[in-house]
Amino acid sequence: MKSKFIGLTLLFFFIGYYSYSQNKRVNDNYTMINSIYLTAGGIYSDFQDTKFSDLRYSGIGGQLETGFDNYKKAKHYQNVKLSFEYSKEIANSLEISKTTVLDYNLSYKYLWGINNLFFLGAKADILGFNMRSNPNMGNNNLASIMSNHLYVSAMYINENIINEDWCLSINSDLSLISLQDEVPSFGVAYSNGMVENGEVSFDSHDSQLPSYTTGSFHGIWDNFRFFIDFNMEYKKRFVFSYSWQMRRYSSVDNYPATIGVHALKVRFNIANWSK
Amino acid sequence: MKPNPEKTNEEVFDEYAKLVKEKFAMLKLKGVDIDHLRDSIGATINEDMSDSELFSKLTIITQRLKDGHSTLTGDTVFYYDFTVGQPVAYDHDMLFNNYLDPAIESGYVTEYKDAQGRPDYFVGYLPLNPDVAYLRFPSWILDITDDGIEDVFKKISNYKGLIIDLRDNGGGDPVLATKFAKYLTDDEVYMGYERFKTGPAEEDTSVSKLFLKPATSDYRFVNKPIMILTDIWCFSATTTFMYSVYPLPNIKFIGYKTGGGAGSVASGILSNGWLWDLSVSEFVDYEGNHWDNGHWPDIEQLIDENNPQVDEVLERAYREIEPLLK
Repeated sequence: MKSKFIGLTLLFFFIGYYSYSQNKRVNDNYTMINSIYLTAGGIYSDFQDTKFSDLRYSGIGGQLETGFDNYKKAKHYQNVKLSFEYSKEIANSLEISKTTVLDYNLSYKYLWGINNLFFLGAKADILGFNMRSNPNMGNNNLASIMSNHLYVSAMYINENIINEDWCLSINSDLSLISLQDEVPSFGVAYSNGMVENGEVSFDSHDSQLPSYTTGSFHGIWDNFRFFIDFNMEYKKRFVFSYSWQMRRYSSVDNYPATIGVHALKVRFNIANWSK
Repeated sequence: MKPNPEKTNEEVFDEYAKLVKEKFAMLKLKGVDIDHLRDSIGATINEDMSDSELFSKLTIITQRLKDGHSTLTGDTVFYYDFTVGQPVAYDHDMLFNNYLDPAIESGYVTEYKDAQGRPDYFVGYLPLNPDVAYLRFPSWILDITDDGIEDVFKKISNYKGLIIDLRDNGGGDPVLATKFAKYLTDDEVYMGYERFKTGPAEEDTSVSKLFLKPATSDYRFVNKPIMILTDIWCFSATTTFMYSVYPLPNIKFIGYKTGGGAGSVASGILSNGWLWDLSVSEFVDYEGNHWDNGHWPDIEQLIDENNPQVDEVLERAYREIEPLLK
């Protein structure tokens, strides 16, 4: 009974706040719009690491995001986003290859307005971690990548694509430079940076984890990463998105690893306010 | 992305031969001409072969690597058995019935058990000499914390000598083995180096120099004689423990040659789903010795299987350590 009461109170509070925030969100050239949002969706992911095999892994999973947008028409756009992906992949229909994939990312983006439609700027990963787990793979049962990228980013936005209820935005990010370490290295399930730098030790399990301190910097030519997403916002509240990301990196020449993720998502702006 | 590889017999064989050529770190040490093997065995591969016939062909390569870490797993597991034809320096029943049985008086050995109640490790002393502590580690996968390791060395700190029985210890976690080794030194000691494969070419390697650093503890067991019992089953992380303490002057190995397994292991899946393990590094000690083919002890001693009452290796260790006790 008590939990029902709390639930109903929260629901009424939420509906009240929703109405209030919609009224407050007035979009004109002088208005700064802020949004806090939650996104959920499904993903289809692909993976291949030719250091170990040409087997292509693929599978489906889910994605959750939460973030904060700050937008002023023709002036600036900034975003802080925390995302989490989970998927199960399999290669060549081999049961033994079933792999669980987790990906965490925290990023910050700032774009300057070129005009009413186009923005240009940069995005930086604050935290980037990708982990693949397959208990059948002996010492290589856990593979992980720790990577921070600095991207050049662009956004196209049309706030009246059909009518004023619908807003189209297209975002893209292209990594220019990155700091990355991964496990395994070419062979052994130790940090690639530690192996390459001759720093492996059995003093602790640190060698088995990637680290920024042992990571190395990569340019676009050996660590390519690209995001693009197409978003249709409805009544400033819901956003329907398709996104695609691709990364391709080589810690060993001629042995690239490739990751691709397609996602269909729905975003809900929990809170909108403007000033 | 490249397309998924075919699962044809020829492709699977080529894939495995390429992996061995590029990743296995000891082709030269083990005297393996992988190009010759690939060409000669490859010529006999055809698409009419059954899975088991193909598996047999691949395992010819695995066998030639002479490395207990390198395995191939299809419907069965194939590995190089480095114990075949080797003499015996350990018998479980001989040790337990005559020395470790709790019913035996005048000795006191505590058997620590893991969370499932299985015997984990042994700490105490044996009736053979109450001044000499006895530790036995049947594996380096132990249910023990850092505080637990500290407690082990606290318990034995007042003994005049130490026997560490590593016979039949096939390995486990090299980090755990190193944690124990750290209690046996006061100074940082250079052990040697591990050479890792970092790319497909033979010369694509990197070297990590390995040092044994002393444990931060008041209970380090140093400046006292230590005998370490070994046999052919001492392998992998046990080799890590042994090469870690090898430079220490107060330590002697007794028993029989070890099984080796000094390298680190990588694992993966072939395009038809078979699992492979390969050693992707080799260890070379500070004197230039390769430990992967096994390490001979300072004192060679076997057991007499016709005399199940006496563990000759254990008793010899006591005879050797007693004159060294202060």
